[in-house]
Amino acid sequence: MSSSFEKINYNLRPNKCIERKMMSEALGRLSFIDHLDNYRYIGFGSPYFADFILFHKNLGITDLISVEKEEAKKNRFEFNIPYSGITMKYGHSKTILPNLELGLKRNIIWLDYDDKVSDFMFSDIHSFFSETMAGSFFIISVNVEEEFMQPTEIEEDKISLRVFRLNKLIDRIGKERLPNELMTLNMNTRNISNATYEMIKRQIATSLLSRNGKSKDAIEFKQIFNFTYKDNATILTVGGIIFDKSQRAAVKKMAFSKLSFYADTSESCKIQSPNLTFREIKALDKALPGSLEFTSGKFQNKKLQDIPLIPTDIKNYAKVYRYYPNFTEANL
Amino acid sequence: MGTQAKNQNPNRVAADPAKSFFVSMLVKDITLRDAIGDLVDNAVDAIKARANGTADLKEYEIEIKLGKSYFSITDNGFGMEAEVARNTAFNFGKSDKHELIDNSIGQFGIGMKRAFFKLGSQIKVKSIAANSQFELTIDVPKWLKEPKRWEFEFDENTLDEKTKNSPSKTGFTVHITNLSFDSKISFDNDTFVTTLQKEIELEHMLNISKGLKIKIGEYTLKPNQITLVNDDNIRPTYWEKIENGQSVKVLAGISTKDSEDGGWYIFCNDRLILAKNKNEETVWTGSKGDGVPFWHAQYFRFRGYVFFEAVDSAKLPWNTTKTGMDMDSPYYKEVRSKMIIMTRQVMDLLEKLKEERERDNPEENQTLNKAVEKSLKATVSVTKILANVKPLNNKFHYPVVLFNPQKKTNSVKIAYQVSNEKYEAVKQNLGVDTPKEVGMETFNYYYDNEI
Repeated sequence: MSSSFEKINYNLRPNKCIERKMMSEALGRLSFIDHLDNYRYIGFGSPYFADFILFHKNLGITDLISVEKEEAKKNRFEFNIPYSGITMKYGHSKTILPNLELGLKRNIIWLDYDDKVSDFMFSDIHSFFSETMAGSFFIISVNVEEEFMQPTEIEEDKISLRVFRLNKLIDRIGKERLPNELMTLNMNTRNISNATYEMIKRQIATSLLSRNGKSKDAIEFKQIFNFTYKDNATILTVGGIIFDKSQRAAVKKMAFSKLSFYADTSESCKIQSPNLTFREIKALDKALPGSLEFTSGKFQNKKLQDIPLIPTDIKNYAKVYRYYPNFTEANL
Repeated sequence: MGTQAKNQNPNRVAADPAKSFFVSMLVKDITLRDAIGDLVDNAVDAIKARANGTADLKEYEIEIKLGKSYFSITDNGFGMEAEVARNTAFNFGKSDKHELIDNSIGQFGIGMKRAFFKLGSQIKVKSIAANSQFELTIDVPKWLKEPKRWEFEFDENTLDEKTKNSPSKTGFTVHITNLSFDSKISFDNDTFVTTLQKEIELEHMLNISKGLKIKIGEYTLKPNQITLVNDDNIRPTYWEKIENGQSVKVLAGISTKDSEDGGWYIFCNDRLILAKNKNEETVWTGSKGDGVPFWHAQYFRFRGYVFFEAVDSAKLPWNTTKTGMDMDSPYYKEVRSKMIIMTRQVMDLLEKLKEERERDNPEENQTLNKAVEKSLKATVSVTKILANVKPLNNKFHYPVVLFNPQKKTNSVKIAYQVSNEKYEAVKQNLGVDTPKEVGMETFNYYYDNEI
């Protein structure tokens, strides 16, 4: 089986690219707790290392670890390492993470799975939340695209789409973990996304509960990200900061809630970048930031009225314009 | 209370315990084996109290005799002062004024009396303590006939509270006759006795390895060594939490011996509560649970050891029968969460060892397996490792650079079925002997001519 990096060119996922830049902006605020160069970044670099490049350039993080399960393709990963500060760790995240001495350093981790929600992801959440030093940042991305059922002619193989999707989900995560009230739903993209969000949230809470024991100096988690976007499959990203009592004031100063993409509930921030020409982008940028007030069938902002785009595209662009990638053909 | 009280106050509702019901309920909750275990625990407490924190228990001895008509247990611990017997030790349940021995494993509250009743109905206790000595007999049938009397009596002319006994003379003996039916048939059964010996040997392995002599029948229990690999190549992962009056130390790594010994071991104040555990009470919940995958043959070298210590034994996260952990205790939840992570740390090696052995990887290429095998030849006792934990940290060290799995090959395997007749015809025509050769030749023929 080939890896997802062999199927998709990571550089050409505009929504993911936007998400990454938004994250970087939020992560910059961690400097209220500690110098960013004291942080360590842990991710799944794949051979593109897009997140590693961005966080090294933008945040100045110099200690970076890329976890990679395909030891067999070691040569290709090593060849593509963009900066010397990146260390490769080969193996499965569920046994690699516990050995990283997460308690000795503040970590920013991005568990950027390509897979659909699976049991090992909860192990990884547990390993991270049980150990990581207060002041760390946690991000997880999971594929929440609904399952597609192949039509069958064999009578006894016929089951409803609802049962088919539920069985698929239970195969991966078990019955125990799935909240009872969700067991009767048709696990379409929206519902699988909600269920995944809920299970991640519960695992974080349970792991922190065991970690805190009877201790009064409890470690807390504050959710900051809840993104969904679709480049090809729908992806859910949840993230936030892990902190203790002494850091509470610093977290408040970070004012995450002021970020346009801040999402601290089950309601996600949807990233939907429209496909635009450079001419359109230039024209839109001239009007932004600015009012998007839309009454009696038109934008109140005169500059926007002259752009021949549908209002939804304009609104979606306005949400992401500061992070919008410029893709063009180039001879590098 | 009783009838008289009821007459005095019409609002009063009788709730007197019926002695015989009370006794039968008490003994139903405990096995014979655990009843004897409770008496051993009490003896160990008395010995440790006399040893007063010294690690060497060579002078101390517990002797158990199991006969067809009697049971006895004798120890040379610090005995029981008459004052303690008079006010607390024989109470049912722990009174508020009851002070436990530091770092104890017995919890006088109920264990000793429950064990007595389980074993038989004529109980004779003899104690020689530093400042007093006494004998006490419990005739259970007679005691049951006096429903209101919740007390026992020292035997006539045995109580002496003016004496001064030297430490070498102190001790405690329980001698039980009129054995219960369960006791009688079990003590006559060699399998029961052997199992008892083996289990107490495990439960008290730490005390036995400190020199404590425990004799059951004619057999003296042997020290069981718990070990781990700890050398330049492989170092166990270690975690500790030390608080006022209590501590926990956790070690995990690999060791040899047979796979039966693999799993987690949990000690509370040196008493083994869980041995070789391979289920969800420790970490093995299956990958869909909150722990690690179910125990599997590839983990047979895994060893994890937990040592809970508490001055006040009520703070230990065990259950009241000392047969398992209190799964709801926040303290145990916290430690268990660590145990899960430490198991994953060691699994990183165990899974790589398995991967290296896969896909017909020639033995000489299995460099990580070879290094581990070499280290396994010299394991170290856990007591020794605990004596110097400085070089350890919460990370499992192993020579990851030696990991050398067989690379995935660039070839494809084709399989298909044909009728016997056609196969024989092609085989003869090609002049080869095996289906494999037929497959290769026919494929090559197509490739050479068509591609």
